[in-house]
Amino acid sequence: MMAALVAPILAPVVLALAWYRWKRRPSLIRVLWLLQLLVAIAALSLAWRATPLTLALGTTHWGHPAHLVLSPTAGVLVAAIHLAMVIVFAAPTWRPNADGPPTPATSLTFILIGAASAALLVDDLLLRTIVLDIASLSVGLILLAQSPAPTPLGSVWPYLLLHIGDIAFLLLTLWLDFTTGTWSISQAFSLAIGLSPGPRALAIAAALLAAGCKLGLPPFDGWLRRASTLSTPYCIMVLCAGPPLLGAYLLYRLQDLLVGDPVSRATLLAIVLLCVAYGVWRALRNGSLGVSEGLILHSALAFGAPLIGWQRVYLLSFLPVRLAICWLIPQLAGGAVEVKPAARADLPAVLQALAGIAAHVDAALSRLANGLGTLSRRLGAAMQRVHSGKIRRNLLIALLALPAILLAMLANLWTGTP
Amino acid sequence: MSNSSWAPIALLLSLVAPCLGAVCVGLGRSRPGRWAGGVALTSALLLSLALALAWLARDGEAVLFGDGVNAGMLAPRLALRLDGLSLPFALNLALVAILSLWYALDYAVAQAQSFHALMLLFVASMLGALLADELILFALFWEGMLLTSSLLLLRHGDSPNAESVTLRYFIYTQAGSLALLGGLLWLAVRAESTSPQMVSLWAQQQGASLPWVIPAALAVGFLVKMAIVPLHGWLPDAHAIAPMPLTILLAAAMLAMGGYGMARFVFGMVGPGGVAALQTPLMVLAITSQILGALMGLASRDIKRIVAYSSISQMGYALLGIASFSSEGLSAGVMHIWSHGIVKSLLFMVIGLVIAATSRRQISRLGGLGKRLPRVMLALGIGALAISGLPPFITFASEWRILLADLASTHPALVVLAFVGIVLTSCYALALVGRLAWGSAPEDSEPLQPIPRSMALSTLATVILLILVSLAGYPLTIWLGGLITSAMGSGA
Repeated sequence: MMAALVAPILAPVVLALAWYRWKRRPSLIRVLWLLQLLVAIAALSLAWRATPLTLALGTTHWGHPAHLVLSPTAGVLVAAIHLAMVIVFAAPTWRPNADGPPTPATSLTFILIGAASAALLVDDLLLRTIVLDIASLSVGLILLAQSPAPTPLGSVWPYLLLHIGDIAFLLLTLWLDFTTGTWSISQAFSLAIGLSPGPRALAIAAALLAAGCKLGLPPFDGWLRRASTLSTPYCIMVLCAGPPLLGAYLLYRLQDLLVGDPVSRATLLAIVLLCVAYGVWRALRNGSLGVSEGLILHSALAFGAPLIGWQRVYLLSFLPVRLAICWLIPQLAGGAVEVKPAARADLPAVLQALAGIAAHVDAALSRLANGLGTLSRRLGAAMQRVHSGKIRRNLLIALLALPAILLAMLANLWTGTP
Repeated sequence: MSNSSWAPIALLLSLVAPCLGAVCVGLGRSRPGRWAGGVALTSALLLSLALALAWLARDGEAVLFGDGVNAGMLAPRLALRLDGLSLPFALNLALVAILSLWYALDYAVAQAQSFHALMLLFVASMLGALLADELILFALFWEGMLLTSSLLLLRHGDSPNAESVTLRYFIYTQAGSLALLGGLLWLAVRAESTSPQMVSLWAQQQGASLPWVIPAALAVGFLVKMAIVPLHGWLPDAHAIAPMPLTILLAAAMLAMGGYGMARFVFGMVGPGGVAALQTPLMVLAITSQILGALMGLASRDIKRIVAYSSISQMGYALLGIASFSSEGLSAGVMHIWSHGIVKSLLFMVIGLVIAATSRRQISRLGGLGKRLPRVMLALGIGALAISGLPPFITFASEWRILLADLASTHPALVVLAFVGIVLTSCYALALVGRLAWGSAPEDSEPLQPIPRSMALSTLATVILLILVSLAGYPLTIWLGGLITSAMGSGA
């Protein structure tokens, strides 16, 4: 039972290492694929238990007993992402000509699945922050390995967008710990409902930002559009079983907090409407519905589902629907994925403007310092005329004076007289 | 001597080792350049060994040499103290000194004698200021720190403007030192003692009646050293023109001295009245530094300046922890300074490797190094992720503990702004990696120069050190927290 909780996290990591190191030993890889399948089946069967399965991980360094908890919803999702991995990646490996050189992107995808499983199972806010960051980093590296960007910033931009979501989740984590006094996700999320409006608004804002980045909603959709250009297996795993699923799961866990507040309900509705309008506008502009537009529209529904009480339905259908979007839309469009990577010549405009302001502030302070410098240089020149010396020599003399004073103090230590 | 064991002697030896090393280097003028570097590195190793021995052989909570407590106003003495607060800073200094002097072995072959001798005196001054258990002694070492670093910049600065940059550096830090000296003298006269412990005790007893201007004057002196906005004007130019080993010492060790001063003197002396007066401005300055430093890093086009500006931003984090005026915030701030020392050493070392290989510093003239210098770029990537505060790097542990401590302060809303700084940090750090590693190679690319062996090996050692420290991050945090709490408790 307990192994069934740890296996979804460790099995993909073992597979990732084995794939990279021993891909040319098909029997070993087949055994490991079988293990993934067993993990999926075990998770699915355990998901139907009346009470969630819990495994104590011990006390964390920050003093909270951490647990892995397999709830029915998390169990189904873990099973689904493992099944998706087996279907997408295992099938080609049975073919005799599929033993090409190992690619880091494949191993990174398996690590992403391990991190996503951990994020679904772990019941500690800070541990979840850590695994979310690992998942984001995996996606960033997969994109680097598989889909090099035309510009330098474009290479790291997708990770940066996901990282903004991780930082928002860190803010949520720290804020919930401060206001509720617990690191446990289930306890903190339920206690957050009873917070006064101000603290609750901050928690909701941080959660919505975190979920929005993970789900790839505008203006954080740059990473999703880049991921849409990946080859099909990676595109499916990243966009169906990666960060978007974790963003949707976060909204699911916070649904009571979100729908219990009239302002947050209005915010959710506004987000849905804006994102749908954006997705439709992009599709009209491009003349066709691309994978990224389809996924953005689907992601927007994650914010609308809690408003009508369909959050669980949305979450359980998340993977199949997104698989269909990733497979069907390119087929309908003639087999070609039309999405182009976001071309960014330099820093985004907002950052560029902020950096410009900072440069001006620095220049102003620098001018002030230069003014002071000129003043003191004149003073120094006047002093040098008196001393007939130079700055280097003066500094050296001052430096030599220090050991003399220290020696006097040392003498004082032994003699006891000042 | 207070301790019966030989720990005090080891403590004194840790201070004497770099001074003797400087004398040896100075005397060996006819020897080749690498000899001076070897002596300097050996001295730094001896310093570290002596420090470790002193701490391991201590009798109580601190190692004492000389009697600073009973020193009267007119009888200043050579009194040294290594306690739970000075130990992390001394360890940081020892590590950074070893790494920078190792890096310098093949870096500063020309003019090696004066460079290494002054580097050792600079290290000795910083260590002296950390260990000084007497206010006048502290002020002397503080001045020594400024003088040695000024001479290094003046003599070995890599710019025709070295003199004006040094002058600006000197004026900034000397102005801060004057404010500091004024505050210390006022305290010493009023408390009728030059012992930091006695002065702290006296200041705490005064409570709200202690004029807030006194801790504020001390804070100005230390904030200049930490390069907190708007007192940061000396840093970008000084870091930019300094030879790389000196830049490493300046960024990773000397900025930490400002943090030490804030922790030892301002935190140790401020009572409830002072907290009320100082907390808000300090937190605002910290957040401003954090955000403006990151933005200035984004605006900069010189790779060395980008990393230099990041120091301003990172010191903002550390100040944010200290300004919470809680033991959790203080230990997190010290932890951040400690981790910043390692990460910043790594980043400057990597930038030094890039400059050594390409002879270029302007970001527009660099690119495509991911294929040409893959290992160097991997090290840069590790450093960039670490400075972004990504788990499992140790900076993550220190940052979230700082933010947690500040949430419990009187200004939790300011913490939200700190998250803007975290995002911006990732922006400039990852943009730097993106541009260097994956940016298109310039058309006028030249063949890469070979990277000197000591520079490459010391960088590798720093990467390994960062990984090891990150793996032991949480136990280390707890250990340091315990040390600092006990030191601040016993110090009072």
